Amino acid sequence: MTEIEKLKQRDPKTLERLYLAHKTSFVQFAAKYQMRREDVLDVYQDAFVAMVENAQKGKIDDLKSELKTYLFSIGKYMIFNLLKKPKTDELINLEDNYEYEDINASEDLLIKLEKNLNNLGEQCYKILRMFYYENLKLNDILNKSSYQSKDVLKSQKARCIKQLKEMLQKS
Amino acid sequence: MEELIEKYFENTLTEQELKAFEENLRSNASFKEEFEFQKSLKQSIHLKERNELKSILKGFDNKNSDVRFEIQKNNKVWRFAAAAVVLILAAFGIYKYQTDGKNTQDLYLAYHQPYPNIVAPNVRGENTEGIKNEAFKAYEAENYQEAIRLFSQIKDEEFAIFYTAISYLELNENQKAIEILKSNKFSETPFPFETYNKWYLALAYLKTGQKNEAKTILEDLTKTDNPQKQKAQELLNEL
Repeated sequence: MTEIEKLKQRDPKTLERLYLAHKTSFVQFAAKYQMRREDVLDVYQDAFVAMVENAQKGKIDDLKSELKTYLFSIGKYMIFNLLKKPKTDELINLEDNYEYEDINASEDLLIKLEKNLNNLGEQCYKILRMFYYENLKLNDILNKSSYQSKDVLKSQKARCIKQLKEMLQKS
Repeated sequence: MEELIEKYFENTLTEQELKAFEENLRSNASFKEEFEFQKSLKQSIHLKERNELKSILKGFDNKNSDVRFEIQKNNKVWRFAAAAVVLILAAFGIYKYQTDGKNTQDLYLAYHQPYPNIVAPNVRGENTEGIKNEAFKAYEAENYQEAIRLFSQIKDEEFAIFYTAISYLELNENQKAIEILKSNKFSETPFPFETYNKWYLALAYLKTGQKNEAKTILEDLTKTDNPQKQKAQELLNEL
């Protein structure tokens, strides 16, 4: 299995190894930008999360550079964003493999939704995660699961969303 | 209606369907509401996934917190120690040159000290990279032959190349050191090796009597902001 495949599955050993392997050099790399150490570590974690997320969405299946290079450019991108520096060509090019939506984590509805997702049945969450997070099409999900037909899958997904809405109303 | 929203998220809307989608968004309140809800749902799943992953990563930090602490501590101690040693040597060096004249060998001795191990201080607890640790152990024990052997087994890491060069320098195999330092291009990467790579190349030139080559690099180092800027200037003044 390739490193990227393992990232997709969030293999704990791989995550730990990669995370620790590049941490020190990232901190040293970020030292140029005069940030507080806590911020540097925070950016490193966010960059790492973004890398894994893009792996899970299949966006870096054809990555030409080393994972480390990719990780560092995401980190640099985030540092530049944080410090509101103008982006260099290198960072603009990165945007081809890099879409990472900033989400306002303080929005009430999102907080409530996130909480209720934890109470949703495992089967439901699995479907929703594949569809909305991994960006899989319904046909792909059908191939990966045991639903008899697309219609069954569709109505299952609709039931899950309905269930979630009901939980929201109660909470 | 639901199908349009589904296809929107799948990114499979045809041009015609996209028009219908936009039309619904404008004129159909319940359509808009459903779409907005699913958009929020998508975001909240991302939040959940990101938060979960981030707390896993934080767990790695905590698990290795004594290692991290050691690295920080070591780093600081080393910086002070390195600065102190360099100062003492420099002071001694200046005294010496004033009394018996300067030559590049002496300057090399005055300014040189093996670069401290800042990559993998030998620490207690779990360690993922055996060879790396062994290599630095040998390096710190001044067993440079062994260090070179081990560093050369670590592929694609710039620190390994850098420390190999310093080890050669310590073994007095200056030409080898110069070749490595000269060819080492720190493309994307981590401060502070880029600076120290130049610094040691300058020292290696001094050691082999190539004053002009050393000067060029030192001048280069005084032009940018880097940890060795001042030291480079001092050394330059003496040349």
